[in-house]
Amino acid sequence: MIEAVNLTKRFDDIVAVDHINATIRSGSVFGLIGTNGAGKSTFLRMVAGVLKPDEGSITVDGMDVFENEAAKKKFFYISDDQYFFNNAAPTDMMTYYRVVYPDFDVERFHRLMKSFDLSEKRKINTFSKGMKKQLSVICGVCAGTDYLFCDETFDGLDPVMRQAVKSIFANDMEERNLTPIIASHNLRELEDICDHVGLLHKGGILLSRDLDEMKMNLHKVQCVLQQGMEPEDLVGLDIMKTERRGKLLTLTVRGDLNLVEHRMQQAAPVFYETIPLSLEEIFISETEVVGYDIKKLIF
Amino acid sequence: MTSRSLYSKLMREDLKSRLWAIALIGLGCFFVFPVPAAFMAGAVKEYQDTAEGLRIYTRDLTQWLSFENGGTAFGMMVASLICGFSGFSYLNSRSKVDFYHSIPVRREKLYLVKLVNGILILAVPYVISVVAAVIIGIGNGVDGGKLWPVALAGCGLHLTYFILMYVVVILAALLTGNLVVGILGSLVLTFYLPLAISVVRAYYGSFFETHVYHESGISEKLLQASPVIQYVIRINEYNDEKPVLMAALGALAAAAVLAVIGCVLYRKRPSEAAGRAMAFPKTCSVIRILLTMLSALGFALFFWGVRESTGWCVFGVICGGVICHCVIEIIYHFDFKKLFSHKGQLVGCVLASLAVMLVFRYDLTGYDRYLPSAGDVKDAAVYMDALSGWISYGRTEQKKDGTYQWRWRSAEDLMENQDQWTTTAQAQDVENLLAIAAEGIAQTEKRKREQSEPQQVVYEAAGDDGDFVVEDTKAVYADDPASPLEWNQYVTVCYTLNSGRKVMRRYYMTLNPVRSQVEQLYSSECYQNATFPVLNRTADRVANIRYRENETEVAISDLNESQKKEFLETYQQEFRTMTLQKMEEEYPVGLIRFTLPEDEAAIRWVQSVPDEEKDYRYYRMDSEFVRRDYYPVYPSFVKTIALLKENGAEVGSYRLDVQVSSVSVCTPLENGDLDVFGITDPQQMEELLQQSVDEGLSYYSPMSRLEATYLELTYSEENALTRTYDTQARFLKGKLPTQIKEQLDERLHNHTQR
Repeated sequence: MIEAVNLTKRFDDIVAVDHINATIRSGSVFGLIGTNGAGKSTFLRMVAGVLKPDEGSITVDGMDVFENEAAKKKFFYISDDQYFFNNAAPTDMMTYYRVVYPDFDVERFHRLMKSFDLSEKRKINTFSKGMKKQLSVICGVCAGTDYLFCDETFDGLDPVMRQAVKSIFANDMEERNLTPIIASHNLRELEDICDHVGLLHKGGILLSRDLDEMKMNLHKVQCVLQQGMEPEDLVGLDIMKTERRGKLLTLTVRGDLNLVEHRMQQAAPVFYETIPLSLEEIFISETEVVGYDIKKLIF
Repeated sequence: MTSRSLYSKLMREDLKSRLWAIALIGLGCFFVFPVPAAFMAGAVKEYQDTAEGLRIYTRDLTQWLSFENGGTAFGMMVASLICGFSGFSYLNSRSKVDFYHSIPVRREKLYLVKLVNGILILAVPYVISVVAAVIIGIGNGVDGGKLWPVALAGCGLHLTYFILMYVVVILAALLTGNLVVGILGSLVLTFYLPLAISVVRAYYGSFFETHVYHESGISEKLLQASPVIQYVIRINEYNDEKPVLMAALGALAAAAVLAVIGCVLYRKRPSEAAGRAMAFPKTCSVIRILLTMLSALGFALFFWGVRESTGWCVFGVICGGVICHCVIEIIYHFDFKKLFSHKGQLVGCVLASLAVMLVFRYDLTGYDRYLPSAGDVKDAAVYMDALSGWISYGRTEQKKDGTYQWRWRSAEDLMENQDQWTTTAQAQDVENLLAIAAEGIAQTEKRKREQSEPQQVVYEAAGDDGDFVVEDTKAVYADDPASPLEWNQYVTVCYTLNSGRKVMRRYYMTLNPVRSQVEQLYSSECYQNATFPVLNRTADRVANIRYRENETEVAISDLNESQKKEFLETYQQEFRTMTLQKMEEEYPVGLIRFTLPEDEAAIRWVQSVPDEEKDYRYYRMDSEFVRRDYYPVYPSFVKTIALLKENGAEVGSYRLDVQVSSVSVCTPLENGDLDVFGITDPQQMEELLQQSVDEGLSYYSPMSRLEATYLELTYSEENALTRTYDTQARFLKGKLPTQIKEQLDERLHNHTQR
């Protein structure tokens, strides 16, 4: 488990990360969402022990990260601009990682390189941006660490590769309880992979929820009510948002799905149906509650 | 995985990423050592005399591989930059810092890996190249027994100073976050202190007339805080055959301390410093203030040197301060618009520099007026150029290659560092010395007042064509030269205060107003012992006695110990009796020298040079070893003269053993011209020469007074080549021959008529 308590980092006058409290459970995929400058990379660099927090603490499995070899052996950090040695080929990077990560799986490295159709002998500086990202992920999963920190790693991967990477993550989570922490400015990239999402804005964490929990508790109801009936007349529904298009109403409702359907049936509308919300819509609704226009933040 | 194997693996991987540095340095070493060794060997074969060729090859190769090779030192300086920045420049890149600082390796390990690899990158190719060069040398006939120790010692010493410079470069890399700023930082760390000390010294020298510059004291030690300066000093010392081992060990210890400081800095260095000019924000102000003030003071000094005006000095302070501050701000922020982002600091630096400049300019601390009270002075030493400028302080030393050198020491150095160089043993001596110093202060202050008054240039009249007409100086012969005590000469005083502190001042002054004090001091035993080394010489150290008169030298070498003792003590006794007044009345007949065994060896070495090999170096050695350390023999030294005569020296009867071809009588005029007329009559020439004295002896008898008129003698000497020489002969004051006096009066009359 990764735990940040009052985590703060300042760069001169700028507070990049402002007293963040967050807990990242093992065995789940944690998505870190936020606009450019929200503090995602700074947060990840502190988690990776690159930056020393100005205030607060960050622990990995109960161990302080900064300058702690034991804690650092538990994760592999892929930065948004991953460094490869000058004129190095993938095998050179593998050799280096083998030195510093004792559990590095060489056979898997060769296998994955082959399956991703990447040449092990070719100079990395001739690779495309996407190929470098693939190589980083391959090195990361082969390092055999418990956690994998990916900073904008999916940016630049084509949909096929993204799926392939996701399936590797899923496999490693299943087999060895890998915990990927993925930072991205694109919510849609994380929609189908994250179990838990933290939304960062201006250095602070706006919300941190389980996606399933959010999905189970938030619903969209499209309905046409009987003549003279208004949404306010729907008793027992926690309506967060109402949109009207002629007689067709679209309601965003918080609560258990069965209970929502039961209330709707009781109101005997002309027509109604419940529709699942996309992650984007869930975020819009949740952040509007706390007074933010999420569209301005991350879309 | 054990820590050791992790280290070695990390080192191997790190070396892979620094292959370009290895290749560059390896190539450099190859062309600097084995190739020249082979090249020089080829030159041996060009010599017909194989032994001579081998001797030259051995000498050249030994010098090339030894610590004295300045080219190697320069290479080490460049290599320290290459190794330092190839290892630590990754700290300037965010992506590299993210990579290295996120892997499970502690920063200390990374630091150590980079540090050691940087040393190995230079050391391995360097040592291999030197070994190869030695093998090539031995293969070509050089004695390995002599070459190996020199080459290996050179290796060790060069590497020591490389490591010292290398860790300084690393410190600069750690303190900065940008390669260019890092290189500038290396220059600042290496040269700031020497520059600052030079500027401070220049301020003392420019504004304080009584300041004594000498290569000792705290500033000299601070100067050596620069690794490059220390490196150069040690090379010079090695050349002079001074021991450098302890200094090298000290440098190694300093490098170790700096390496530890570097490790601490590395741990504390924030990763976010990558790309910024300065890694530690707190250092920004310190460096900005130090550099701005140095620049302001340096500019002020430059303008003072050009114009000697306070106004220009103030301009220099403002100019230097603002320019430097702005440049630093641009470097710090990489933004031209941030020129004046620390206005307060800029104003503070300029005002502080201005204050420092004005303190020096107007001597607000009273430096030039410093005069301790007699009660504060434990003892003191004085050196008067006018009276003892002819003494050589130092000793003859034999170098390892069998040659000799004169190890010179300045009077200032002796005064400050040798307690026995005390010229005041009694309270009266101190009083006399303080009276001389007080007079020096008064004369200095008067001169400074006169210099600070505005100079007015008055033109007499303008001619018809508008040109200024300079009034013709009357044709009047220059007055007789004054007594040396009336000349402006330097008097250096060194006080040892009761606290143990030494304070030194030098006055440019005439000693006439304090003649009685000077005479008393000159006669004191303590002053004489300190000033004249011959008075401290003991007979057991004396090898020979040499007497020189009119270029004729007599060596008295067959004396036993008691005879030497008698000779030396007789001279010492008679020399002590010479007062300034007696010196005014007498003129030396010749010179005497009590040589030490090493002096004799050096003289034999110089005199063994065949005529055909005598070049400028021979004449330098001749003056270093053959003509040095002589003392005057005055006519009143009757016992000494008697002993000299007993031992075969015909004192007073040696004449210049040359055929004088012409004599010119030269008289300086008041207007700066020289009146010259020739003497052609051989008999008249001979008479004049009989009445003249050897001008060279006046150097050893500073109180002697001579006529301004002198004789210019031209003669030829048949040597390897026939050369024509000019020399001068003088007349004692009041003993100008009548025939010359008459001719001069007539010529003066004619000059006036014209």
